[in-house]
Amino acid sequence: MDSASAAVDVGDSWGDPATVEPSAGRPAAILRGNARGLEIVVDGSAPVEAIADAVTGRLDAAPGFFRGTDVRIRVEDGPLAPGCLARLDEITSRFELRIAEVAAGKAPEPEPEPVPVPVPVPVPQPVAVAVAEPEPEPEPVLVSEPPGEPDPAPASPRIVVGPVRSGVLLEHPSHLIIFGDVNPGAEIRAAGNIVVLGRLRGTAHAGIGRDAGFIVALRLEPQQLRIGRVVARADDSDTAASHPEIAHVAGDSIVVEEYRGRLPSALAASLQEELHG
Amino acid sequence: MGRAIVITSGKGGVGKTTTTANLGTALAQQGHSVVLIDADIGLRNLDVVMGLENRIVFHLVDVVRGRCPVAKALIRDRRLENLWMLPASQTDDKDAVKPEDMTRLVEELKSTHDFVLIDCPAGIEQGFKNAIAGADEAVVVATPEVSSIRDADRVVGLLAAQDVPARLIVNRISAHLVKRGDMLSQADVIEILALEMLGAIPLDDQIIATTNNGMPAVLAGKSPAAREFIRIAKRLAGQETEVPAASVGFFGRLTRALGLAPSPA
Repeated sequence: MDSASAAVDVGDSWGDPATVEPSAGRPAAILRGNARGLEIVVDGSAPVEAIADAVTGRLDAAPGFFRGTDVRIRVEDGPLAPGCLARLDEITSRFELRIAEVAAGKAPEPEPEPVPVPVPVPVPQPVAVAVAEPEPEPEPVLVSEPPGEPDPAPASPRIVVGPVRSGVLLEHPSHLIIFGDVNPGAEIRAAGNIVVLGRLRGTAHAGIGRDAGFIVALRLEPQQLRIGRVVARADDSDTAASHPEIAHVAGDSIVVEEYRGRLPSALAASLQEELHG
Repeated sequence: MGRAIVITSGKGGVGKTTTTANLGTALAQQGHSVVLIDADIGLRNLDVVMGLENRIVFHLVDVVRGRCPVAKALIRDRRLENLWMLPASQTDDKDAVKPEDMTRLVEELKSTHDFVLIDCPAGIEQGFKNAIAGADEAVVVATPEVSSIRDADRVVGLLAAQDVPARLIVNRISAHLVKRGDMLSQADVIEILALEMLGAIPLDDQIIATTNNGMPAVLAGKSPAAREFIRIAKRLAGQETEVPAASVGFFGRLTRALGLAPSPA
């Protein structure tokens, strides 16, 4: 228990402080994205309301992102109090998630994440998306394990070979790398960053749940770009540039500039922190 | 064993039925045994374009429901003895047939003919799913218009999900309008669709006349569109043919000469 308390003090930046139970020493519920999919890990000894609030709070950070996903509920230090599962069922239905399984006990040994294709820097290493932030920053949707518990394989970047055709919806809880074009009418969404090694002509949404992130494309000609909660569309007068470009957030708007093989320093710094911090 | 080819587009009115009729007729003229299937149940047109609408006794739904063997429903073309057509039903709708029915039917026809061409309805719903069910390959027809290209792109994605390889015909292209900058070029179409090109049918007034009088243009074989359909049919049958210079244009010829022509996806 001591190590768990230490984890809360030092490592647990994912929890809304209001839901952390000081006596239990851990959050009432956390979301975890891993190779097996989405998990809600619940502290069975916490009060039902605390659990409900914790789950709602986390899902609220990006309400539509997990729509249609199956979710596993893992109960630690259970059993769940009466009525808790019904509450969880009601909450997950509201966000259009389906509870695929409810299990008790610690997470089993994580399966090794299959490494897609070795990709050189500046592709980020597989790592949980968010970084320790002072509150009240918007809560990251995906969560890494607090130190001291077995580390499930965090979601790694997904590599897709295009073209991504009209009508296709690609979603990923980490970074997305696409070799090829993203055609008009296609939608790509990532909690991480997006790199399109081709023409980006569809709609791209990066940094879901984070309000930070970037989108790089060899030809940035999107119908619409979103990073976090900021939306931008091309001006009718914009002519397509003939060099790679990067879009990122500056203040309240999205800024697009030429990408010459180097991330803008602020982005590079925060990415480094994410990888090594 | 024959080949089953579905002619599809997503968008309506871009020339699927005309293409099915003309490619089928051309293949038959070139000596192959061909069956055309009209999969546009409820909105059948292939019978009209082939000039066979007065001879329909049984149709696709009759065959699927077991009311008659397929041989009874096939209508032989008046002009070519190795060309048949299986008409659609006009009184049913697309839920009357399931993909498994089509797969079985197409398998049966493939065993007795060289080519089974399936005229796909517009859209991506049940009619489309039925039409692609038995197909080994697809010919996607697109006109040089943004909406047509967008729909074709969607369709290619759906075909890929079913492991049906697709090739492209660009229809109703006018070299003169392209040069004026009023029409997208073949290259513009390929740039998004990223498909292997079979050919480009020029805008041709004669096509309208021939679809109305039920005589596919390739029978007379003289108009520019007819000649291109005949060439594409040869290509479909595996013969290497040159894409005619007119549809490639100066820069196209130059890029080909330099080995820089766009490659198939």
